[in-house]
Amino acid sequence: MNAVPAQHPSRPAFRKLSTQEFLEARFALTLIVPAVLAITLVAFYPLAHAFWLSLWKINLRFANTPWVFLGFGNYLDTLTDDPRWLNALRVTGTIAVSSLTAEFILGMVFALVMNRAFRGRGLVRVAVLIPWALTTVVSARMWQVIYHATYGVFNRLLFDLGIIEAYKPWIISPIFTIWAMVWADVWKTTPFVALLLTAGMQMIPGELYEAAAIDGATAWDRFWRITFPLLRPTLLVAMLFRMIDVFRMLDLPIVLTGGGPGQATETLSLYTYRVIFTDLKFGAGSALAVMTFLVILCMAFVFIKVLGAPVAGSEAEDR
Amino acid sequence: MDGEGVPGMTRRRQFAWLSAVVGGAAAVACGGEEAAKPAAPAAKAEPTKAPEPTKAAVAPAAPTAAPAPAAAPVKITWFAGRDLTGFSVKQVEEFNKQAGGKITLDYQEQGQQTSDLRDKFILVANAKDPSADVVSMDVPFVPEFAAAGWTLDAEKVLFGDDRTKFYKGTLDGATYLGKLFAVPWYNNGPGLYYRKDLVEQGGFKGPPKSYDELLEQAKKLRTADIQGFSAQMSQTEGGIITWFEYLWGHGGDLMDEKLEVTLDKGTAGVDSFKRLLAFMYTDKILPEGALGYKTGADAQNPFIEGKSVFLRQWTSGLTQNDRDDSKIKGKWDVVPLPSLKGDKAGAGCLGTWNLGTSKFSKNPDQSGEVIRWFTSQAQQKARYLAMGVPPCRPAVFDDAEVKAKYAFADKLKVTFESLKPRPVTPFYGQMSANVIQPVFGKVTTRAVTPEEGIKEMADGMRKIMKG
Repeated sequence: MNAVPAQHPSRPAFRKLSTQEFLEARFALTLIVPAVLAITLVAFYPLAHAFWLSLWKINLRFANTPWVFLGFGNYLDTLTDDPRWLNALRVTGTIAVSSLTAEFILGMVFALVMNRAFRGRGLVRVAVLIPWALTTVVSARMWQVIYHATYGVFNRLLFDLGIIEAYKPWIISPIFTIWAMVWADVWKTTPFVALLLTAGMQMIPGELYEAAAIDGATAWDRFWRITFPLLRPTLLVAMLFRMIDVFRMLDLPIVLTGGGPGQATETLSLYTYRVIFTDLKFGAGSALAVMTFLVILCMAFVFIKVLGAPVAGSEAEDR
Repeated sequence: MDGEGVPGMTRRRQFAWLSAVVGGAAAVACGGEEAAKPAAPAAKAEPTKAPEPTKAAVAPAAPTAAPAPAAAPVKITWFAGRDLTGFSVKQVEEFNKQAGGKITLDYQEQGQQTSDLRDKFILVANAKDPSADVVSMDVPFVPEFAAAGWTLDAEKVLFGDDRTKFYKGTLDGATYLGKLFAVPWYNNGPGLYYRKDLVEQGGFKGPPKSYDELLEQAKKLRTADIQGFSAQMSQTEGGIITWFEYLWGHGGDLMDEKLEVTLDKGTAGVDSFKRLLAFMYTDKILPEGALGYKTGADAQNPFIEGKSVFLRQWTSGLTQNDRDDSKIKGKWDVVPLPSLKGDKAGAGCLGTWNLGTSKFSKNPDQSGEVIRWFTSQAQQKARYLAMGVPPCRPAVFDDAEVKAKYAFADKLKVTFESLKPRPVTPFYGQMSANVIQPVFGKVTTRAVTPEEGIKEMADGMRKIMKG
């Protein structure tokens, strides 16, 4: 990053800098140093430290246990002989795919509604945003009550509609629990997606729609040929953020299901948290954390380099 | 040229920025690194820094070392489990009055479930945080915390003649490698609560003595509105204890005395699971909702509301049956758990709670005083009278006031004589949290068969014992 000014592609890198340029470069450097330091301290240092810890066998459950250097042993163990990790990966993947699909379909609908001018639009916007404003722990508790086996309103609803014959423990079922959790997550985060998409829609110039209307484009054409392509950058960024969120998901499962039944809703983060904080296996847990990080990094790479998600002042926005 | 160069740079910068964001996100997500850092090296150094003899030598000198002139009261924080009756709070108030400004006891409940307390204490102890002084401990916590070096031994808190005044079994449960690490505070064991009126109306001679009788009576007495049986069946410590009692009742066990895993030897494991599954899914005396009973109180609520004929619950819940909003006042009774053949009291799980001192407490002497006060004869009696939780000192049972209040005390004695401990090993806590509870959850929700569950459990337990 620091080297960027020197490697400016428009000039040969080896040319001597003029005094003016030198001063400018020095000034630029001074300006970015605090940011680089902050990032190093809060992002790179913990990451490097986690990687260092991940190379050891550390078990703080027993006093006087020495650290044992394992190299990549923790990683190999996880990759070759850890059904619990595979399960967590599968659970997280399932949530990511299903939750994101639902959120983006619903979020798009909400965004289209919120973007229209009508009486009471402010009210609708506030109503849509409320779930997002709630703390996850609070909403998780709320869904716990809604899904409750004996006095949950969800059971009551299905029972009154004649869909079920007896109340069911929805969040203690190997089949339904994960979907109950996905739904709670969709309910909570759709507003976030809708908000981002609304912001994206408001940047699309109205003349485009007017011109399209004159040319006789249908509503569907206008959505598919104007709104959607121009919204694509926003869409990708929102998806990336949500994807990262899902891979960090800890609060919802820990409160709503505790990862159960069995390990049916144990996400990667929850598994990692438990290995580190209740088993106190810092080495193995750090290896899990590093692996989660690598998964997220790969996905971010795909989103940005392959799909071209514009993060932080992109060319797409510049143009 | 210049114009083209700029976006290129922006891109580079974007990517750096993004990796920083992602890196930060991952650090937040996985959270462990920061907290891990200071604790890990310190833990290695700890034993050499604070050897046992130094601590013992310092202890007698402590009162003089403390700032003497008009000393402000020492604050002692107590990490405790949940007490629904509210009696503990009253008892703490009483203590603070009696301590006369020398000690202020701060009573902090750490959540509904036993595992909440364990998780919290592990976090605090592992960070060497002095914010916990006294900690309540379920039987399996004692060896686990002692082995990790998180608790001080209680050799100086309870010694000499005083030790003979406790039930030996409760002291054994508080001992690790020959040293006492906690003082038994109250005793707990299960009972079969039942509705006297309904059993009589059904024409039965008395409450069930065997599993089959329990099934027969529950099946006959249940109605659309009243469930036959209630028991904690959730994926929690309390849930697996419900199962342990059936496992023991069928002649099985998790481990033998040499701590070899014996769960998958014989058919007791599979049989006990099949019985509980039949209760829930085939005979339907136990509602599927029981899978969501996370605490003993959750299981007891339907009983108190008059919506359950039978209930497996700790004796610490007895007084709740007569609380103000109870619909079953005077209509209930309690007997020992049923057994396989009905020829003896069924095996119940030992649920003694103990009080110990955190190794990172800044005031171990005052903590010891607190523990001595709460485990004294007078306070164990007060607790028994107010909450119905039996004492760890047999002498309390001979007290006239106690005898007058609890007619059923004699009946429960049988139960208390046959209580069984969970495996006494520092690995139990991990086994329970990582293997037994999740697999129990899978079997009870029928995600796997009992046979698969028992195999998975036994294999997992063996893996943990290997370290």
